Amino acid sequence: MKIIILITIVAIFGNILYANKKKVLLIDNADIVKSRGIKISTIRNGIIAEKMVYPAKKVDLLQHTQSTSIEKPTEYLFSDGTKFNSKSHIMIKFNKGKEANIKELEQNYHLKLIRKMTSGDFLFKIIRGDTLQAINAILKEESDKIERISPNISFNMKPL
Amino acid sequence: MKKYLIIIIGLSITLILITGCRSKSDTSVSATTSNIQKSPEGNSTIINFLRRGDSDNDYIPDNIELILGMDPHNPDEDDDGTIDGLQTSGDYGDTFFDKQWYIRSTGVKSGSAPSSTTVEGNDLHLLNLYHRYMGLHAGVVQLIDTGIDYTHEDLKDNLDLDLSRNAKQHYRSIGSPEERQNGSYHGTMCAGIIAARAFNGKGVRGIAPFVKLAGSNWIDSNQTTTELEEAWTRGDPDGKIILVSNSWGTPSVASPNTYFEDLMEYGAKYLRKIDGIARGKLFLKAAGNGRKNKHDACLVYESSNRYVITVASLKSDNTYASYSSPGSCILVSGYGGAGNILQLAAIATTYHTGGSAKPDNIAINRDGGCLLVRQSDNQCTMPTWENDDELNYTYGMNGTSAATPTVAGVLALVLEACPKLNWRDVKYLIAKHAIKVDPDNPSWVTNSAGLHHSVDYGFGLINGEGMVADCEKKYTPLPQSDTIEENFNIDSNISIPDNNLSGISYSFDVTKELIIEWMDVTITSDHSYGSDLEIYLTSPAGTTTRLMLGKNSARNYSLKRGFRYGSVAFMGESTAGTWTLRIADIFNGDEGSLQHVKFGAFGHHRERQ
Repeated sequence: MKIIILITIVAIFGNILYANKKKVLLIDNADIVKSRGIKISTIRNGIIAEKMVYPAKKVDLLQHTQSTSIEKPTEYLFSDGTKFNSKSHIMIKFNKGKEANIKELEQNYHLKLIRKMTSGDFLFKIIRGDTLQAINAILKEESDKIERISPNISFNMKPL
Repeated sequence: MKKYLIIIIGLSITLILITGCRSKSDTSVSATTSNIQKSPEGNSTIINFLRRGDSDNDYIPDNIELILGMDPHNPDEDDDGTIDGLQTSGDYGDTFFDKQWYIRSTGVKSGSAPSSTTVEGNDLHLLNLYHRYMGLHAGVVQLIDTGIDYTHEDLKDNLDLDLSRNAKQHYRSIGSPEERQNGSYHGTMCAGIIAARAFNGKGVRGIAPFVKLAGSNWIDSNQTTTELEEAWTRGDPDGKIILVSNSWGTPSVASPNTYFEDLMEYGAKYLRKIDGIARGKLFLKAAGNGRKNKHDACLVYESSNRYVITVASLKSDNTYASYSSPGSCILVSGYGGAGNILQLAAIATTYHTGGSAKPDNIAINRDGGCLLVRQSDNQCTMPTWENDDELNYTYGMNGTSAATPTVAGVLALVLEACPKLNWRDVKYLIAKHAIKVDPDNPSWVTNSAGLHHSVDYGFGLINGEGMVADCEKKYTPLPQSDTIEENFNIDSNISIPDNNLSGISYSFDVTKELIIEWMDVTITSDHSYGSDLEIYLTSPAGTTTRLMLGKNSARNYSLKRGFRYGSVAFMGESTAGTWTLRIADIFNGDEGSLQHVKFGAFGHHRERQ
């Protein structure tokens, strides 16, 4: 019995230590990536292209990891000032006449359908993983079905 | 016996009619007034009966006079020689109404500087509409902006908080009292232009001074895609909102994002319900303030699609403002005032409570951010008049941000007069009746349907009076809509010579016929710097418009996946025949070829009489 308790305690501490180390790794990774940007795939008129996004500054992540135990999503910035984060919902508008197997999408890319939007897009919550990576993966495999795909972007509109 | 019965019934009907009609006796009017005051703005039978009249010709409809406790048969109640509807003093006067040149220009100074004098008669010509319409029965106008000071003395009575939305908190309210101080400066100015309350002894009045206004502070929030969907299309299941005014944008980028127009399509199909039938919510969008930086309003799809009403800005002299972005997708102009708000005539409106400043307390902000600061507390501010002691107003609003709510206010009056107009008919009537200002400007073209269009002015200054006169009498709604699309593959790519003003011409024959309400061409090219390209399009009827300003502000945008250029300039013309594109690369350093053209049009099949 004592051995089981000991193993459990060691496992818990081990997990905590690993998680903390992972956070540091994530921060370092974000900082490295920032210098060269990350590519996010987009589709328009049936053609896939890549745009650069830049993860948020290291200081933001450090501040957050100190203030809470929940990992803060990484924020990605486009060059025009629009942004999203690694946990942003994903919006997919499917091509007319192309059947979309929502269940399969949910399973394959760790998504959960929230609702169909008035714009015709299907709005998904990301259950596991990173929004950016999920979009890239979806477009790699399902582009023939998709008219447009995007994170739930925060625009950079200004009063005129 | 039968005869007597008929006589009695006849006398009874006559008596009912007499008592139901407007009485000219003072006693019966005041009795009616006292009843109606108990249910202001309600659906009183008598109010509805009187809604289309102004018995004393004082530019206030009788129904509104009754609601306010005024006498609808006395045009000058305080006997001071000024007609009630033009009052600037007393219990019913709007103190700064004579400064609101965009509503009624008498040629006085609008601001403090002598050079802010306006041009007499250059206004929205609203007084005749005010005999019957002031927005009371128009429905609800929506304003997506930075938020509205919902405690403002001249706005609070017209706000519909149930249909308003706090984009920060995702609940139905405009914002907290703290937010109204910090974030609502822009939205409060736009709100006053549309719907500041009239005849309350305060400040200014809106163009539709009794319309209800619903706000959203989306611009002051995270501006998420989903929150815009909520505000534009999901928060109004009963379809009470008739139009939305959007005084925001991105002045320097090109955006081929079709998301906005998909929301607009939903609004056009399912919203603004009259008697349970959707007539289509109107979406108004500011063209942009980037003329000096060579911004073209049609670089972003949200301002360049079949649904949107894109608005340019005029000064008091009826010429385009120095900042107003041009574009072939612009439908109409409103008044937005001059760029130099301290010296020239800008727009008088509400400002967040206590936030404006008198001229001697204003300094230019050298630290960036807002343009002006109040010297006494270093807060961002806007200028007001010497007699605005509570600092609740400003004469310094300007921009296509200001022009757009002026058009919104006018359209609210039009839709009060003709609520069953669908969204396409509204756009067509705007084009048909807009006033050709600055007629010697070379940008004007007259198309084969007889409509004049300019990339600087759209079809001209909004003309609510003309629209109402038409829609109330002889107007026949447009036939059912349709769309066409034709693709033109270019076998051997046509090279666009670098830095060559002549450019290339490419003609293509459209075989399908449609009467145009909106058209676009999607151009695919491997040109490495899309902003270098200046693009013109000539219709089969010979009308030419500039589809895109060359060397524009969008920096590098790509045509490799196709970029759609839209126009309203061909409204009323036929699609069938030979169209000619002229594309010139007017800046050196980048080259490419024309590869593909897709022609699209939205309109109807029957020629209008």
